[in-house]
Amino acid sequence: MTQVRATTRCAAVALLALAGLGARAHAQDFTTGLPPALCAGLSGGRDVAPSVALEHGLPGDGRPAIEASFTSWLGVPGLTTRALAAGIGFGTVRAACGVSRTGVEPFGWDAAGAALGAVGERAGAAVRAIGRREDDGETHPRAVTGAEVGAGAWVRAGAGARVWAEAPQVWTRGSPPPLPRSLAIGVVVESDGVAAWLQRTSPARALEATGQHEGGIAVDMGPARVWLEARERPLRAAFGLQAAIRGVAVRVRAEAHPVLGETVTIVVGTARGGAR
Amino acid sequence: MKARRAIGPLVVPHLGPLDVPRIGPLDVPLAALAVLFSLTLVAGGSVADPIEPPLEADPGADYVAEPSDSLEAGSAMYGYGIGGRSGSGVATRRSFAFEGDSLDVALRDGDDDPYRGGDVGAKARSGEFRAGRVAPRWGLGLVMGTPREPWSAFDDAALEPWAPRARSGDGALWRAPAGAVEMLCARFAKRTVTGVALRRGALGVGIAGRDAAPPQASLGLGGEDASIEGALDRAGRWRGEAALRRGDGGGAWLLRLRAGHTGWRSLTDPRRFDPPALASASRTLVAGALTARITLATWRYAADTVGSRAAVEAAWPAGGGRLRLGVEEQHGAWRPHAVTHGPPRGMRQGTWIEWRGGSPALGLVARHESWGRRPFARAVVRGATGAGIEARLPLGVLLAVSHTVYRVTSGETLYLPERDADRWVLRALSGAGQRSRIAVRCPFSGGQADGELALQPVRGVVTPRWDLRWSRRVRVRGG
Repeated sequence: MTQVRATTRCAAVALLALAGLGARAHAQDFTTGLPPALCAGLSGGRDVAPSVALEHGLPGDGRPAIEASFTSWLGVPGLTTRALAAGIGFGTVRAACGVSRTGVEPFGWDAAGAALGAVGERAGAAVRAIGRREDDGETHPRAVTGAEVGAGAWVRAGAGARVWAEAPQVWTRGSPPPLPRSLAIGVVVESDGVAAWLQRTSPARALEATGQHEGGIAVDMGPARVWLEARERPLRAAFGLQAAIRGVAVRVRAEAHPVLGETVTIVVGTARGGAR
Repeated sequence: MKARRAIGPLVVPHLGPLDVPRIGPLDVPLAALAVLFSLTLVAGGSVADPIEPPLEADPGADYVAEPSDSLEAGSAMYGYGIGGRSGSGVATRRSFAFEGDSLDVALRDGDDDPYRGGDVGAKARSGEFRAGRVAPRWGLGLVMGTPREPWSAFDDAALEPWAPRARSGDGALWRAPAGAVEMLCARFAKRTVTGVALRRGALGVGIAGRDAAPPQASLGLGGEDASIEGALDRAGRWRGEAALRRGDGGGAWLLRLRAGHTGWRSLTDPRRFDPPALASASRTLVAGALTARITLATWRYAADTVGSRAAVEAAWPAGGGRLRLGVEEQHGAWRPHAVTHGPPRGMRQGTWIEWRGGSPALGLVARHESWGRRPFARAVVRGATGAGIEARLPLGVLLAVSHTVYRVTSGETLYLPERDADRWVLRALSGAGQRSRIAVRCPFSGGQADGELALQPVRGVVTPRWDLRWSRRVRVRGG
């Protein structure tokens, strides 16, 4: 117990260091392993994971899907997030739900989320809601202690381009979220299997005067897709790989940090037969 | 006939000073978005004027633009609204307007309505008579009315709804047929002002006076390409202004000049202190699908209080929508020291980028702007990132959601235009924060129901502000 507490406290310190260093987290409880640019308004056989709606408020593609994810944050032992998400669609309506666990009991928190949205040929929007229940180190967890509601939308901007916006924490109640997430807007352009994007994230904390920019490039390589991301403040990079084989999709994303350890996300879920 | 403008459907986001009255030749092809962003398709031309409250308004407080509801002849409209915020009571607003062939009536009443009151207008062979709220304007507004703000370089129509409307008073006004003669007696700023004006063609002359102030005379010449006005009072103070226009649409330019005595004050609003000297020029350039506007303006309140701005903005169709980029540099004092009670702000350089587009069912606007004390907008003093959507739902329901995150340093103010159910409000924001709005409009009981919820955390505490309004327009006979 003492060793677990010490480990979890180290994790908490790491999170505080993460926040203090201004390394904005772009996901929390339902890490998608995908940048939002590669989720907004995809079509033509590409899979949009249900966790995208839960995490970014960007609606999924409507096919029944289920996926499980595991994230190891900053290389800190015990600081992990495990999530299970499912999504479905009826006509233009999209829905998703999921549960996740961050940390090691009796420390950490549980989260449950739901998202509801609509998708058309040229645009889509969704609303997300997340509730969290924290453990306080005792044998019985407390009641729900925090909630947040947000939304996102994307619009097709001509052939091969999409503009999106997400505000994951428009409203919060109770205990503040583990990490603040602010409004983000971006544009992605795709052509001949190559996509490039640029995103602007506004400052999340009152003491932050400026926001953050990030960009990336993704390349389709047969049944797989690889991408590189770069972010500033602090400057860091991420690499991702997504592949789908025989109805199973796997995504792996690793993000480096100039001071802390790497953050690795692994996602396994259902996929369209043979498509990405 | 008192000119009013129809309240259009919801407009999506309150994303910064350049967001509301954006129009240009590029908007014509965007007919698919006509409903969603229709208010941006109303005015004409201007895209590069910063949205700031008028000179007489408190720069640190919200400013409510005078509503301008237009009615078709032979129709009436009634509106009732309630609103409130956390910790405060409920405020009510009511409005009634009737527009007939020879009679029009407008009434506004509300706890928080700065334009409450009413007016009635009647037309007959002998002319037009108005009683209640009257808003006369002679020439360029030097004597009667309100001149354009010194930083404005465009026509009034392009600034809707923030165009400087003629100062409203409470009294009576009579105009002869074709406006050849105008006589008025009304109270402005708690003082009774009387005046008479004569017009013949483009030439107009008038004289106005009030207690404890020398009378003022105005001589004006107005036309499509040029407007000139000169004003003089018995104490020898004078003011003159000229606005010259050339061209139309692409390739248009506007030149504006003013000169005069520092001690000149308007009879209708002694609090307003317009700069006695200013010069501005604006030019519109069209190259294919690209529209660009260049604006240069400078003004002087006093020998040590001068201000200027230079702006370039370009817009072109992109991705089924419209992309706009802009750069502006500002110097000096935009308001006189008498209003700001502080030193003039130094150099400010700002940049912005905005894209709006989408489908008829869902429109999206995304915008980012940044203002800094140093070149290339560094040392940011004002910054805002915003996004909004407007969705057309079944049963005629319109839903608009917007979210803005802003950072404004001490001594600076960011103005966000917002559309309440029946009026435009310029929100003055400072500090670090965010503002979210959800607005819904739907048909109800033969009329239209509007609801709005605004969330803005203050010191970490969310203070919701809500408004509900129902209005209905009907066709009537006679009048």
